[in-house]
Amino acid sequence: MNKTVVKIGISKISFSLPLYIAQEKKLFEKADINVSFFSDYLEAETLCSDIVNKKLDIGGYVALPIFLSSEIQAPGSLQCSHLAIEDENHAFASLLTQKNSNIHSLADLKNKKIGIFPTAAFELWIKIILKKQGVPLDSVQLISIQPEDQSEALLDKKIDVLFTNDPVASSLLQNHLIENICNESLLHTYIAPETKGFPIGGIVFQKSFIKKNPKLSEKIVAVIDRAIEYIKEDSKEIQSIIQKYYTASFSQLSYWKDQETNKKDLQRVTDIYYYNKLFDKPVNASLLVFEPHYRIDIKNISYNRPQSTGGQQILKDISFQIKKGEVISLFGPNGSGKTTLFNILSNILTADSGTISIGNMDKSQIKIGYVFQDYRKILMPWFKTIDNIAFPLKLQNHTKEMRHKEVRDLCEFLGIHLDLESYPSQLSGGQQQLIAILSALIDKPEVLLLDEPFSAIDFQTTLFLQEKIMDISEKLGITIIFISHNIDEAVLLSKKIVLLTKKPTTVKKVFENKVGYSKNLTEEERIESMSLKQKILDQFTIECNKKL
Amino acid sequence: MNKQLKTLVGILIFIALWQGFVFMDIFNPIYFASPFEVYTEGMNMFQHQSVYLDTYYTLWRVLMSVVLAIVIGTPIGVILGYFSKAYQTLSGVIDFIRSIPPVVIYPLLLIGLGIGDESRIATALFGSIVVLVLIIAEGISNQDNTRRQFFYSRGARHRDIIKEIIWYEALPHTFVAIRTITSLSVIIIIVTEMLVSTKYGLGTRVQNVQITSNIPDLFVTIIIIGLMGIALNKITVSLEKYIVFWKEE
Repeated sequence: MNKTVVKIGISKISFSLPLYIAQEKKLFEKADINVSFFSDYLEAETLCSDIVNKKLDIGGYVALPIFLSSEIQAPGSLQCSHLAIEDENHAFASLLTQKNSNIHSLADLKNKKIGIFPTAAFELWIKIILKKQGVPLDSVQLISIQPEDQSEALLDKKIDVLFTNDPVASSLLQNHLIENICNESLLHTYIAPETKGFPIGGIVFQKSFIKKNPKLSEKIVAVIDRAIEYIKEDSKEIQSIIQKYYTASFSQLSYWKDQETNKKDLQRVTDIYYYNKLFDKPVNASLLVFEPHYRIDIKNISYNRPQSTGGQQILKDISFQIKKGEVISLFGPNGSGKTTLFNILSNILTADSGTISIGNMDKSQIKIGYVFQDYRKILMPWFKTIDNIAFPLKLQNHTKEMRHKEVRDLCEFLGIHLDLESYPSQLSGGQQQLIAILSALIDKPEVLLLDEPFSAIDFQTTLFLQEKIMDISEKLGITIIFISHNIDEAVLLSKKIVLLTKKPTTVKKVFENKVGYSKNLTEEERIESMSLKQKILDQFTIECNKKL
Repeated sequence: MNKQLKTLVGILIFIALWQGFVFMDIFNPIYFASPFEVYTEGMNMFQHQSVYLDTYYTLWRVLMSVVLAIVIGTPIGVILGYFSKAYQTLSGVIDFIRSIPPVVIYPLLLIGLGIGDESRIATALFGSIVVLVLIIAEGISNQDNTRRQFFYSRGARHRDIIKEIIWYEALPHTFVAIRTITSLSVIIIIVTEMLVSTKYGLGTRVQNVQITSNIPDLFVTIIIIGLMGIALNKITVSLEKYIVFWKEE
């Protein structure tokens, strides 16, 4: 069988280090991944454009302004897997000058010749720094200089200051005539001081590659994770690899952050400083970091009906946790407030007390897809199927072409065949349900809520949808919570079954299901499932027999 | 075909009953024309241009008032239906205006706009716009709001919800309103034509034949008015079927 050969582009800049290390230490081979390296990229712009044009599958490193400008030109085509972060402990860019010069601070840069690393990102960064320092941009001369000519330019006083990064910076600082005029982390301090870290760049994936090869992509991420661990160890072996590729040493090696990087802060930095400052208005750049380890915490959720409708307590201190990518079901007596809980999770209702969070994020920052029990109430019969599915993207101002492409890609990815040009009323109940599910998935939610998704459809369609839902959870890593009145269904699909009590509803017990979803269960698994079902039913019967 | 046949049989029964009343001499023949007299008068009338002009001008006035009511009233109805607080605040005023018979406003509009078509159309507009606004606003405010709430929770703005959801949800109510105001406009326009004569118009024709006691002519005019109402209703229903194609029968 032919294995996919992953085409990886490497730009000759310090942040390509994880890819060089992975190459040197044969990490891809060890992970059984066939790779083909293209190392002759001098500029991140070309690298990025080759990923967009599908000449490459992955590229590293790409500066964020370039990543974002590529996103503007080809929205939704790139995804950033790892980010290099500059924070107070890890400086990235340096402003170097000769010790005997009259430049001692950033304010002294007025009327000076500044040599810069020849990329759009460096030009942008220095302009922001100068502007913040009150140095008029027209008073300075910015000169792009290739890395190999930078030392000579500064030492021969062709320029007054050099704005560069490793390895040039580290090499020059070994010369006693050169000093760093700003010992702080320049970008973090002067561009985004109130954040924990400034994203400098990242390893970029072609999104369609991830969609086509989700498992392979996860393996590649794991390889890069391992390479970054090596960098953090800063061993002699790593220094020798650095010497080999950069003919210099790095003073800092800890820019790279792995998957556990605080997404909230990164998002904030990107939102505030890139979208707003550099592009005047928000753009559709989908800066995503793989975050496989987050957990959804639902803590002490309580909800009373409004006083005008009796003020009855519906939910009382509902608490449970869900891991990312998990499928769980809520099971309980009729009228136990399951839909109310879904309405709270999806921001339709507001809880009277309690919190819902994912990792460090608040609920408002989490994208939640919701499929109503009565999905017909949500479908818009005046729009074609394709426009119904794409409607959430329309709300985000995506163009019609983009929306339709996303819908077709999603259907193709999930292997779903629907007559997209028909109107919902021309389709069967199961197909309409599928439209509602696809519409909930189209803007890539982190969590998908399904309220009795199979209650109104026939057995054959139920089996088809169950398989698709499990497929979606596996391929897209989406957390799925569903309400079910069918214990067989709940046990078949979910890893966890949350049993709820009568009103005021609280969590009676959370059952862990050791048997995963499978169409062909072994005899042992079948017995295990039966036993779990019985346990849940026993508790459920006790709850139902309770007097109010 | 079956339905058309049934309609034809219904019409024939009606004509037979009508002729029966004539034979039985229940009504004074001076005030009650026979179907044959009406047919003969009708054939005679349609030889002359005036009946076409009367029909055309009345129809034009009705359509003008209906179109203006739709253009002005629909956005108001949609907005009032969506923003329930605004609707609640203004419902008293709307009820008050609705309670005023439009014809009593006609003299006022005659002073303001003159005896031309403007005052007639404005009277019909006054009568129909409030009804249209009320039907649309009431329809939207009573509509299940799950869809709106759902998309609102997914980041839709009021503008998006009005443009992409409410506008479409309002269409079936708008067509109910159009059918109602069309009938209302026909009545108001004909009454205003009868109150203040104009050169052409079915109301003026009714007024003239009443003076000359040309009963068969009056009957034909009444039939024309009835047929005009049916035709306008049929057109509206066809338009509704085409535009609101998703509406279940």
